[in-house]
Amino acid sequence: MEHDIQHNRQGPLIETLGVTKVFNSGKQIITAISDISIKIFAGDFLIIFGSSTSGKTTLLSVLSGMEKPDLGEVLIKNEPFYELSEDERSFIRNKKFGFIPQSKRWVSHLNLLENVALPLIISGEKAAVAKKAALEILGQYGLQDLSQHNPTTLSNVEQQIASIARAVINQPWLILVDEPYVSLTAEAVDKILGLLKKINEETGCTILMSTNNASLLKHSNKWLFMDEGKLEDISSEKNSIKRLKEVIEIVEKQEQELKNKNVFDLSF
Amino acid sequence: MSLTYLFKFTLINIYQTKWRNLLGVSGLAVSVILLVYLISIGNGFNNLIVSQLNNPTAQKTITVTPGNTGMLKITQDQISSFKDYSGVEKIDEEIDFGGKLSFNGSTSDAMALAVEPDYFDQNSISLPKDVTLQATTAAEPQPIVVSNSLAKLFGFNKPSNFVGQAVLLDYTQTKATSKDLFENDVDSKVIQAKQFRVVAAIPGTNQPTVYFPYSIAVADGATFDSQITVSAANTDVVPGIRAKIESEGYTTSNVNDSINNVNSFFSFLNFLLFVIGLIGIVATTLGLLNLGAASFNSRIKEFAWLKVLGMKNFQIRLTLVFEQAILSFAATIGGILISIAFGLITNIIVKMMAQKNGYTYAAVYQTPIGATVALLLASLLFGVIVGLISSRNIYATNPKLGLKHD
Repeated sequence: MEHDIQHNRQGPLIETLGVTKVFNSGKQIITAISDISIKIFAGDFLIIFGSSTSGKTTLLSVLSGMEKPDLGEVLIKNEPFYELSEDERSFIRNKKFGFIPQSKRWVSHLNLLENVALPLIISGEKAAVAKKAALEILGQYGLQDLSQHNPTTLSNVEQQIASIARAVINQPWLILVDEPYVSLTAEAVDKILGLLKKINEETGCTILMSTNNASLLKHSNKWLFMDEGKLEDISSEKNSIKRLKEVIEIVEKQEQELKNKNVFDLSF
Repeated sequence: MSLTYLFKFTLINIYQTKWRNLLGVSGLAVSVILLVYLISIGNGFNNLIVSQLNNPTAQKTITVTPGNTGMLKITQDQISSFKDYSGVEKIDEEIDFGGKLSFNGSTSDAMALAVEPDYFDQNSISLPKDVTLQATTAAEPQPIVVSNSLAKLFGFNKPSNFVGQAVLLDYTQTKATSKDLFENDVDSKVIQAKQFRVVAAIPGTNQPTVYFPYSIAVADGATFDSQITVSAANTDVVPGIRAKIESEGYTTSNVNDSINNVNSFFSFLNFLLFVIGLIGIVATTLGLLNLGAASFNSRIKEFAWLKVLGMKNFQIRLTLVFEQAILSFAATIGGILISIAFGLITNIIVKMMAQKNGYTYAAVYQTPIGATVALLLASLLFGVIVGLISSRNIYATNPKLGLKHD
């Protein structure tokens, strides 16, 4: 049931047109994202920056076909994504998207090798072939010796690297990375981001990363700023500089907090 | 994802959560143990009784009695007419009297049955080898067979020791057995103290009973039979012969009547057990349903994550259906095996008790194959239903949950 979306470098890979998503919490209606129009091109390394309630994860869900917008349209290769059935979207998500969630998400009863191979197995590949491919990728990332371990027994950084291995196993067009620094040290975050940049540069795979950590902005020159479900206007030079100053202030504040925390930790 | 891997995926998950699963399905296994054990015991008793009743000779034998009116008699003319029926091979006659047996100055009331020599061939009770109930010449004491219960009344705790003893039998002719008494409206006539010699003591009845030659009762004036035993050429003609005899006003019976009654009783009993067991299994299934729903909720982020990875709703649902069907099937197989183990122990105990008390051993626990297979299939069905119901919320599960921080 392969949906016929051809990959080419012409035009945007994903485009949203006035996308709005609203949630009804029972007592009140919450607008998670409002009137988002963006274009993401093949090979982009795009960072979506915003606070934890800014709607970043909702935007990632909408972009990956998991959450149908209430208004607007999502186009993949100029084709309306949400005109496809749920199963067709699942198929595309499996084949063309990779995911690195903020939480270490593993199928607990499978070992690391099977977890990494899972996207290939889901796509219909024979388990033996998928595992061979998974072992090869784990080898590339230096994790082959841990392939038979339960992934939850691995260190945080090992788990995050394994998540990357799982995300790339199907050679996706796009990898969605949701807050990749949770529970990681600054060095580990740099290592993870380095790996993602390498994948982006070597394979041309588009990376779309959401974060509320301003220090990660340095890893890319393409950013989207979100606030309360809306994209901030950084199109004009004045707005852009103003926003960057704010971001630099945030980064400095965060770094100071980190230093204070370390001092506390040492004294403790 | 291939079905094979989906199945393996399910098995791995079952194995990883084996203790939780074991606890979850133990209720179902206990219900199955009880149900299979009770049904098997019922089935064992059913087969036991039927096998006791059923033998090829008894199947071809029709017992005819005059009914309860007192007016209809089994006369020699009538017997001659029965003998002319197609398929009738022979007719054995029997006259029943009330009597008293005396031995060494002691007397006991007893049923006195005047029967033909091959009477015992028609019954499950058989006489010892070389013993017959044939009337002898007048000079010798006539043969008589006594029941063990009667021998014990005379102090013979080992009834065979009563064999060879001389006894006296008084018995009473009535209107029901004698044409003379019937026509002259005389209620009864006691045939006084005839001498007999005990030739056998037999089991089979708790009521004190003696059996003496039919020809003696006839010589004493008995003319009407209490009952006759019609032997048919084969079992196929039995219903036709019975219908014809009954059309003359007589009452007939055949061992199949008893077998049907026994089967009918046990069918009802098994049905009751089945309903009770089914209620138990349904109650357990509701528990499993609850467990399935709880299991679904506890794994909802995992399922959401599988959806993120592109797994389709029906595939996830199938894993849950497989899971519940496997668990339910395994619990049922386990329950059946444990029940069979208990059944074997029961049979061993019964065998030991039978040997100790001098009875023939017969297995009282016999698992009915059909019901067991039906139970296994039902368990699969229950598992599928539980899996389908407990996984119904997969469609409403937002894959976004799989991306969220724990």
